[in-house]
Amino acid sequence: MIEVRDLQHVYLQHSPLEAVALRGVSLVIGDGERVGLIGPTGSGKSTLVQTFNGLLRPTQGTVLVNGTDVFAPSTDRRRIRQQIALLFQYPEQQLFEETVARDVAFGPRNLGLSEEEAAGRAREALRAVGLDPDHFSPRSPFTLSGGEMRRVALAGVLAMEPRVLILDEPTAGLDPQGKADFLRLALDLHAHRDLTLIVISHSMDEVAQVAERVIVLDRGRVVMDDATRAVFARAEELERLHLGLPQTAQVLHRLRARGVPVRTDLLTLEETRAELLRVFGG
Amino acid sequence: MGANGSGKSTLAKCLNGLLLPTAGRVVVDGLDTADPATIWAVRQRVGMVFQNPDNQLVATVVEEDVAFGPENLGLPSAEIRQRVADALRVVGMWEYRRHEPHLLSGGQKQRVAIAGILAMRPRCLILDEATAMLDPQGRLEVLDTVARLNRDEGITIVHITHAMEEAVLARRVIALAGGRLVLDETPASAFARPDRLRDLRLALPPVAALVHALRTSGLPVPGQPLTVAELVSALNAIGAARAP
Repeated sequence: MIEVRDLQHVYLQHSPLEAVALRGVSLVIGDGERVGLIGPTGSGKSTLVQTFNGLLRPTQGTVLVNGTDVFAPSTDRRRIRQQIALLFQYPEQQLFEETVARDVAFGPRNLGLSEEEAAGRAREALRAVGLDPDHFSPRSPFTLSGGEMRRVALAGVLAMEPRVLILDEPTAGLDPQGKADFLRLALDLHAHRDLTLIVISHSMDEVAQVAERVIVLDRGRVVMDDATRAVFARAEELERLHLGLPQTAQVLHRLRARGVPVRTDLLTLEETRAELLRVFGG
Repeated sequence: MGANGSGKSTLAKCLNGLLLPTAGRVVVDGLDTADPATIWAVRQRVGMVFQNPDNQLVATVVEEDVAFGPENLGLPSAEIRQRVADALRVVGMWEYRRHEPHLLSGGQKQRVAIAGILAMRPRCLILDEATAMLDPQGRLEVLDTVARLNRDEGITIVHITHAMEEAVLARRVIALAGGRLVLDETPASAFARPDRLRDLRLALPPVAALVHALRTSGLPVPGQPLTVAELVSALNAIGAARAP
């Protein structure tokens, strides 16, 4: 469980470039949740998640992971980072080893595992992201496609066997199939590995698909925090934040505005199809 | 459109001579990109905006950044000032002319990058995934801007994107696969064949996917709706026909 209390963060404090990123954020994320984190550029999303595993020390406030204060002097933050894995934007830019196997095993080796154990973890993680370890292990990461490289990067964090997986814009730059595959993979990992999943995204269609709970940040504050369905029902507020709605929800809201009696709290293509058939079908 | 690695960016860079093809020719308004004597005339005609808004602006003030290109053309300063003012007005960034680029939002930065190209009075603007890193508002700003440039200034737009809901806004879509041109038609016909799109690692945009699902379930959605507005009209037409 991740609990943050009254988090404030100011970049370059007491300098002319001072910028306030977080203004009193408090929230709890329970084990096994699937959370979408949305908000305009500069709303504090990336700053917030970097405090979860101690990568970034907030100017003020507390972060507790399973009750342990992440920033207490006695806390082993390496262990926290092993539990809470953060996959940055364009993570394939951080691949660096000569082979896929060595790149994926880098984290576990740093945890102090033996070469053999680390290699075993790497094979298992590659399998988990849908890459055949026999085929991919010896290859250079730089000979892979964009989608494959991103899977290798994900395998690198899974090899740490984290309890929480944070994905920052996980599908940016991937082609449509690559996007669909990566999202399906994230949902699979959540379901089968009992992971907590936190996804930052600018794509409302993607958030609707992945998250069961959505947290909306605006200028460093939490302005909504509710079930995905409930958040996307607040169309006008989202519009004011320039976030918009998934396209299928836009169709429902516009029909409703024209007086058609459709439900507007539906998220998936399947639900929308059924509702439109109910209203317009024979 | 096209899968990662299909050759989109390579082709785009060939269009203004940033890359020269190993074989074949690229001719812009009669000018061969392989001719060093006219390469600058080609680049003045065909400008490119790239993906990362943070990598494209060079000056410390917005208007100086936009003036960078025309200054390099050696134009008189009155002409440069006029071009910079025109370009910043067209992209809606005139009030920000004295701002520092690094303090702008992603969408604003991309619009300044577009203004820098407009100041060269180009014929064609190529956006190489220029919306990929932007939030919904930033995307909208850039898409609105290029739609206006196309409509009002007659500038050709080539928009490379993985977002199918953006591709449907074009009048013509071209897809590459494995370095070959595999599709070149209207969005209506390109997005009418989901199987072929899947083979190309592409997908139906959400609205088209919904229409496909509705038709498969027996609802005869009229026309070929690809955008939210088009689908709402099509459904209203069904509703009106059913009304007593």
